[in-house]
Amino acid sequence: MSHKLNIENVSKQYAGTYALAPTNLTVSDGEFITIVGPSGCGKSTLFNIISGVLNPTEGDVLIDEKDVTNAPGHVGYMMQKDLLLPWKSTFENILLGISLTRKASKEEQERAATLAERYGLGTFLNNFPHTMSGGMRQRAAFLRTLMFNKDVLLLDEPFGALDSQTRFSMQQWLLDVWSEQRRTILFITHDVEEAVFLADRVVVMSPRPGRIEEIIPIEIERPRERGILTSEAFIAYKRQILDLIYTDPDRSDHE
Amino acid sequence: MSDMSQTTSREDRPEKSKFIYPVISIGALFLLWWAAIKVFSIPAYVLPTPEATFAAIIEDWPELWSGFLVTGQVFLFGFIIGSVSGFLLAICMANSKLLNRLLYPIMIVSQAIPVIAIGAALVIWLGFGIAPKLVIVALVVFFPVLVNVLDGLNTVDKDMLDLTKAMGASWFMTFKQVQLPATYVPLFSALKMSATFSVTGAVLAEQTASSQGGLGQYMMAQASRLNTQGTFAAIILFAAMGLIAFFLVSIWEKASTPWRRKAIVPTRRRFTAAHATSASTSSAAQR
Ligand SMILES: Nc1ncnc2c1ncn2[C@@H]1O[C@H](COP(=O)(O)OP(=O)(O)OP(=O)(O)O)[C@@H](O)[C@H]1O
Ligand SMILES: [Mg+2]
Repeated sequence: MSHKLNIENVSKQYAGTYALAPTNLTVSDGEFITIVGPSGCGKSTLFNIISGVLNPTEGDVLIDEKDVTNAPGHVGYMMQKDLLLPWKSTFENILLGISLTRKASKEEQERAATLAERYGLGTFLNNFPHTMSGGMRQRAAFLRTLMFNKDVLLLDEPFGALDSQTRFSMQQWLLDVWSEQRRTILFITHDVEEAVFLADRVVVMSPRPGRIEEIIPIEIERPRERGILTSEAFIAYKRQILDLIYTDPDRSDHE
Repeated sequence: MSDMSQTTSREDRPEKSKFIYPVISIGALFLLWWAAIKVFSIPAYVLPTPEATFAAIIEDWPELWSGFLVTGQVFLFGFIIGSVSGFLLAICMANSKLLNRLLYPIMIVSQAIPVIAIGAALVIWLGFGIAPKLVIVALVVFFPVLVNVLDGLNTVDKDMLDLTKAMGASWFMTFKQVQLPATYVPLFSALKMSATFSVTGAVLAEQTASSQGGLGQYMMAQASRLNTQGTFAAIILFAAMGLIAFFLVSIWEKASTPWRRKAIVPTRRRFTAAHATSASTSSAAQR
């Protein structure tokens, strides 16, 4: 597999202190990366830099070997909040990425409608977002990211606000979409179980300064069913990651 | 899709019956007015009865109507000038921190000066024509619109702006689709408030920049003759002017902010599979 995304020595300083220490990460085409780490370790900062919204203090971001540092418009970015525009219908919201730059073509409109239909928003196409449940709003926000039609998707805690049942069905759904569409996904979560369940590799980050602590390949076969959550291998991964996150260097009594 | 349009029509229905409430409450107000005169035996030169007032309106209708048109013109154009300039300045100030910092204090100072005082100066500068009156009405509308639109622009989530940036949107497209619609709700609050305030502005304007033919002039002439019925006739027409303006702004507001009351977008913006083949929908996605 070829390299889709290269993060080379990227860092961000605020007032002389690192929010994100120099960071390197290489992501293959079609890979599913999840990122975990405590609050404030620079996860969103990293996404903002990759998406071109934030200028890094140093370093480069490459997509398909092309330098896209500081250049927005090259990745699909879904933030933690769904950020649906209340005055646009679901359909218009899904097409936002296109309508912000040009008129959506007939084909694009049909594709948006088909996607919405397929992923359970068909009857809400012409509804305003306030009529939809949290799960449906998240799906609409995700479809908006998909319709932006970039190979690399950055998802910042997309399911953070959902209950565990909805969350699980959304994870299944995301894996379906990912396997159908073969996109490259970077996915931030606070939920270690979710991180292991979804990922090809889990990136564990730590704070002060924000940095990548370790990258753990998850060698569990796909498609993954719910049953694997209690398998030995799965639990071992979970423990390994939890240990990394909760090992506080100030506390020597930790095993 | 047909089951959805049913949902909309069900929502539409109470809109019509809503008209009954203002009719009832204004009717009750007239009744109260009438009853107060009877119960407390208020003499007609202090407070005329509703009948006497309406009789006065009918009697002097040609003059009142032409006064209504003259004042209404000042009101309407002043209102438009004030709200458009307030709106445009808000957009400039929201996009320039420097401009914002420089102009905000001036705006507040300008509001602290009584309109009448400014009016006197305006008459000196602009004479007794329509110009000083337009400026006075415009000044009354200008500030609420400016402040509310600025507030609306500031409510736009920073993350939303980051998102549009990540999507490679231009400043104009972000403004048109994300920031502008965010100003509608506060803008219309300001316009509804101003719709009634600027009637006061128009009366004030006629008193300071006195000229012929306005309803304010008519009212003052009647009052100086101690013609209470005539005075009240003018007052009723002022109230009508404010009500009409408020009503028109409310209709415009409802048409511009469907998401606040409806579940589904207006028909022309709906996507249906059949629609996709006609040209009209591609623009719907733009809105
Ligand atoms: N504009 C800014 N000025 C100064 N410091 C900032 C700024 N933006 C972010 N930071 C700091 O950078 C660090 C990383 O922030 P970031 O939002 O990337 O964290 P995160 O890992 O996404 O956290 P969370 O899990 O809570 O979302 C934080 O310590 C934050 O205080
Ligand atoms: Mg974050």
